[in-house]
Formats: sequence, structure tokens, C-alpha cells
Amino acid sequence: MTNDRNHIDGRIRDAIRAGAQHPDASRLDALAVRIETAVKPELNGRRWKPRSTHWWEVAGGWANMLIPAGLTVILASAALLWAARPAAPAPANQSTSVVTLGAVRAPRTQPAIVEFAVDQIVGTPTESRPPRSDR
Amino acid sequence: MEAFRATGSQRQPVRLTLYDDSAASRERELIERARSGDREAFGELIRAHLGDAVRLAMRVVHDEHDAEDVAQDAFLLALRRLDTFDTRRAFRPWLLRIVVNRAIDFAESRRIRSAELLSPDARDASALPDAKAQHADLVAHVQRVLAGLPPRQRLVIQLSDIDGASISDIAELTGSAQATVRWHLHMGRRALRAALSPLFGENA
Repeated sequence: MTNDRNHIDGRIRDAIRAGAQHPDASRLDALAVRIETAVKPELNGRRWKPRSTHWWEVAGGWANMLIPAGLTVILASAALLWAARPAAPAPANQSTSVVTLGAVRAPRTQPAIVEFAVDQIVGTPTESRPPRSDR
Repeated sequence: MEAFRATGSQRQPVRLTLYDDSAASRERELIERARSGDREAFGELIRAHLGDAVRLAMRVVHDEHDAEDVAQDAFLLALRRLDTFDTRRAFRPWLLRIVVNRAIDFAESRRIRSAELLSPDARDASALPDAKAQHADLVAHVQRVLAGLPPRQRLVIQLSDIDGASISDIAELTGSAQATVRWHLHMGRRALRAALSPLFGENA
């Protein structure tokens, strides 16, 4: 049975090979020209439009420029903000006030020192005041 | 992938060969140029693979003119899909798979099943006067039965019998699993035996 099957298969295989069609080589050149003409519009379209790419390819292409530029912008912004920061207001006469208050609270404070301290706090020049009369 | 076995000087088998490195890099270069719209590069690709494309299409559609139309469609489709092709892989199997699919679509749309299974009259072929005429008659019958098979079965049998392709070659070419190829081969041979065994005066 198997031998019969192999025999039949062999004869069928021979018949398939004998009847196989093969392209005429002389027609292939003409066909190639025909195909080249048919694909010409598609190729022309490819010349003028950028071919579609994946987003990561686009990002990769721009990365060489965008990363240094981004870093530069960040550093420049930070430097600008640092330079333009508002100066902290100096506590006017703070130290003088502390000294003055300390002097006023001291048990043995001379009146001249107190007067000087008050002048410093209220800003009145000592020289412009009229001399005080002792009681 | 192993090259298909040659079956004669005039009759070249469909090739699914490996490339050497220089040929592969040359092909990659052509593909990149074709992607940018280079006509000369795509023309070179066409001429390199056209013979195999037509030969393969003829295995399915059984008509040279139809096969040429199929090959033309396949090249156009390949160009449109060229951006999706992975250039690390071989171009020929990718292209030929497109040809196979186009040919099968064509065959199914045309319903190329013109041949009926062997008619009872064909059993009288053994009564032909000489062996040559008998053989010619057998070939004609086989071709008719073959043409009546589903396109994929027909292709698998021909790639195996005419081109000497291995199961793995056919699987790659058709984009099918090897088990599927074996199944098509088995069913195709079975159908051929069933239709033709009366001609041999034997039961399959």
C-alpha cells in the first residue's frame, strides 16, 4: 500500500514538474520597465515628503540639539533670577536700638547717654537741639 | 535558508537564498535609497528579484500574464510598505511573501478553479497508443487537478515538487507554521492521489 502510494506520488511529482510553467526571460525586461513606470509616482512622492518615522526617532534626532540648549536655558534662567533677586531690607538702626535699650535699662545710666540713645532712635540731631536747663 | 534545488538549466527554481555580507549591505543601501525615492535603486531591486517573483506567482495563478500583473502589484505594495521593512532581515523572503499573498488573493478572487476533478473519461487515458502521448495526457490531467486545489495547497505542492523547497523554506515563504505546511502538503497529495489513482489503475 505504501509502495503503491509512493509510486503514485512519484509519477504525480514527475507530471507536476513536466507541466510546470516558467516565465519567459525575454518578457522580464519589458515587465521590469512596466513596473518601473508604475512605481514612478510613488517614488516621486517619496522624494518630496519626509518619510514617516516613529516619534522616538524624531526625538532622537533632535536630542543632540535640544538637551544642551535646554540645559543652557535652565542655567541662564537660574543665573538671571539670582542676579535679579530683591535685596533684603537692612534692619535700620536695629543694632543701635538694641544697644540703646540696653543702656536705658541699665541701673547706672547717665542722662547724656540716654539722651544720645533717644536721639539716635528718633533721629533728632543732638547739635540742633537747644541746650537743656538743669532743674 | 537553504537554496532551492535546481531542476534544470532552463527551469530555475524559486530562490530563497542567504546573502553574503557584501550583498546584504548593498541591498540595505538600495532599500534606504529607494525609501528616499531613488528610482535607480528601486529599479535595481526590481531586476534582482523579478524573475523569482513572476515564477512564484505562476505557481499560484498558472498564467504568465496574470503572474506578471501579480508581480507588478507586489512590487508596488512592497514599495508602499518599504518603511516597515526591517533592514536587518533579508529582503527576498519579505518580498516573496508579498508576492505569495497577492497571488493567492488574485487566485481566490478569480476563483481559479477551472479544472474539475478528473472526469470519468480520463480513465481511458491508458488506452492511448504510445507512452509519450500517455505521459502528455497524464501531465495535462495532473495540471487540471492541481489547478482545482485551493491556491495555498497548490503553491505548497509545487514549491515542494518543482522547486525542491524544504518545509521550513515554504513555511517562511508563505508565513505559515511548519505544521500547517505539512498539513497542506498532506491534503494536497491526498487529493491528487484520489483524483489520479484511477488513471494508474490503482487505489490510493
